[in-house]
Amino acid sequence: MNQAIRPSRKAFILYMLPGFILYTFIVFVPIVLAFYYGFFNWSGGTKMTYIGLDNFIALAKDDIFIQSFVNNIYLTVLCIVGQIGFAFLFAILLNTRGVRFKAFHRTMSYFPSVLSAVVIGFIWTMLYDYNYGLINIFLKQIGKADWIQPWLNNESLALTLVAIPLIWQYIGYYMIIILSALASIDPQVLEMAEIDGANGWKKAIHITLPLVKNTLIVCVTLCIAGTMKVFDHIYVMTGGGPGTSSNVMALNAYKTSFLSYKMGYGSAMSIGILILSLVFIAGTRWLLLSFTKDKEV
Amino acid sequence: MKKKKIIQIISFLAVLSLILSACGSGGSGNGSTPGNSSAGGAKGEQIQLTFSHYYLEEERPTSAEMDSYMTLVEEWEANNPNVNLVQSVMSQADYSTKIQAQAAVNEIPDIFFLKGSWVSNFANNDMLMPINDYLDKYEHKDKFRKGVFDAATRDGKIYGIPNQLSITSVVFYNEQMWKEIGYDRFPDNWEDIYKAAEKFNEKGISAIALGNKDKWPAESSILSTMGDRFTGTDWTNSIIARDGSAKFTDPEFVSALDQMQNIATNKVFNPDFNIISNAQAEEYYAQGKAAATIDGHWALSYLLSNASEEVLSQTKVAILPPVDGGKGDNNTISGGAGWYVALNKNLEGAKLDAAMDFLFSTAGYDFSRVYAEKYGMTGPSLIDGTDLTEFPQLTQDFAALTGSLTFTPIYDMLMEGAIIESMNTGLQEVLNGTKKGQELAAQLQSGQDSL
Repeated sequence: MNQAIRPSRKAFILYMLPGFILYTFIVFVPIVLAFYYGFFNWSGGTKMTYIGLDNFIALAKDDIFIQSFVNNIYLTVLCIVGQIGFAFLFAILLNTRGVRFKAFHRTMSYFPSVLSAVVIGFIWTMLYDYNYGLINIFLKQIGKADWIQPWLNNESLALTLVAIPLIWQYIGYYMIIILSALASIDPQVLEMAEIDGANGWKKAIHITLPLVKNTLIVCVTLCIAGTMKVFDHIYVMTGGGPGTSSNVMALNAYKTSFLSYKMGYGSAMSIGILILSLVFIAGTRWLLLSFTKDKEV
Repeated sequence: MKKKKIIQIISFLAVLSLILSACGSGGSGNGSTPGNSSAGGAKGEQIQLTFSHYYLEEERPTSAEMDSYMTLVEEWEANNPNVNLVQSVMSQADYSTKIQAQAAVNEIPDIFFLKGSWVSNFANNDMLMPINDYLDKYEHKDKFRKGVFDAATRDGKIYGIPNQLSITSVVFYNEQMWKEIGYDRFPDNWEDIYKAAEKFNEKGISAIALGNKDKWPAESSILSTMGDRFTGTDWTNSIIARDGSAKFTDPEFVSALDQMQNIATNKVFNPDFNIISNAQAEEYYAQGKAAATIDGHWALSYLLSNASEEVLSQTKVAILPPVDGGKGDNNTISGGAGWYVALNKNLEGAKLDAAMDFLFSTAGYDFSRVYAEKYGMTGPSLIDGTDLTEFPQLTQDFAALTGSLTFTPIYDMLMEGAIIESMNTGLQEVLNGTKKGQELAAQLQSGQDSL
């Protein structure tokens, strides 16, 4: 930073302090506390019994928790492909010269991101509805009445079906991020490619993609972080059901703490989620970075 | 230089105020619970009582028990101008979550609704005020029905007064619709129901509407009664007491789960039973899309205010059909007191007296009186000589049916929360046919063992 506008050390610390204190109290302290509570058999209230690592050991053997983790991974894969894949396509489309009303398209595709997850959940629950849902009505209209089913009650489909609104909602969000990356590409590079005879598709794959690679890696990281903690869409649409088929880790931790009243175990679960998410994010980042590096060499 | 100083001072003040406000809110949180320090303060002094419950004003027109209770609360407030009753109201689901969170940090309100299945937990954590002394002095003590305090009693200490008598498993059926397919009334055996379901399904109607999205209806309104028919009440009480003599893996309970699966696989319910709410199922029935629904006493108020005249005039009540080879009595229905109004352990002096007065005035005998006089419904206290002839036929039928039956324990009101959570979740799969009754039973038993 320019020495002239750089604040003194003291002022610098003072400026940082409010943010630091806020962050400490709403993020850091709860994590430490959850870790601490994880060592207790605690049902809420004043009585807590120290049980050592029992909660964490039980967590590692908890089939329902493991299933919810697998569900999270499945959702994450769907969301990375769906959200970022579509976002990249749409961003490139919007960036081509022929498209009209660019601002309008941009706003409209970003629009779902500003809606509350609960609203989205309700809208899609209505779409999937057995009697009045648009999907079943559509199937009836095209003469496929035998395909009609209570969609969200299908245990093998439920997770995929709740992933669709999740993907739909955030396409616009990643599209905006990718658009801003596209804007920073020097137009001359693309013009050169055109002169060399590259068509739209080739330009996208061989010129644009490598140039926005770093942005895409950021998007993937954001997407994983967002999907690992997903809660409200699923809570509204299926409540994790039928049974545990669309259960995810955050929902499981909530149910353990507030419906089964196992606060200690719920805390241990939260720490488990934190660790698994961090490992997963770090793992994918490392993988992506090393993979793309190799390619360049 | 001067400017820099000012900025430094301002930011320092901002930080300071942040720290102070954090401490301040913590302090006031502690201060509000233990009651005023000048115990037994002078009369006429303003007292503040916090009261948390789930009686939302917008639900009042369709809920008889809520209207009766809130009428008494308003009366009490008018009679006690020196008490400032601060109410915190939210939906039942939100309420359950919030009170658990408050209990976790030991900041429960002065007066609050307490579910039977929470009592052990709250009592173990020493958060509840026993009401025995006040109850012994209460003039209408003998009017309370037998057993209504059971779910709120631990080691002889009673921790609340029931504010409702829940009856969770009544069959409401449309007589006309059953007649059309050849049954004069709701069948008294399951085979007939399966046959009827086939005929109804051909017409595009469901035999029984079920809305199990929130997972409790199948367990609370069907399994609680069905289970008792198979296992007998002693089994249920042993599970509730956790004395180890009854197990979920006992063949009787497994048979009950298998029976639940049979009902669902015979397509007795609407196909979307796991994804619609209980209220939507009531709607299906009220709109004639289902020929019956199995629901609690609350459905009565709902149907009276929402069903069309045509459906209402055809609606009759019945109980679940008996089961073969069960250990329990077949002439029963799951019911009893499950929700209580309870007080914070930390109340003392004038606040305690005011809160106790509130408790007995709103949830005691008067509640059952208003509930019976205004709505013809049965509350936790016995009211002599209620004249029901003025009430709708359905209300009279309901009172006549439930008055003649024995109540059996309602699972979700009395069993441990963790067990109920797994049971409710597993039942969705059992009903879908993707989990065997035996698997769920084993899972429940391992949960019970680890409590």
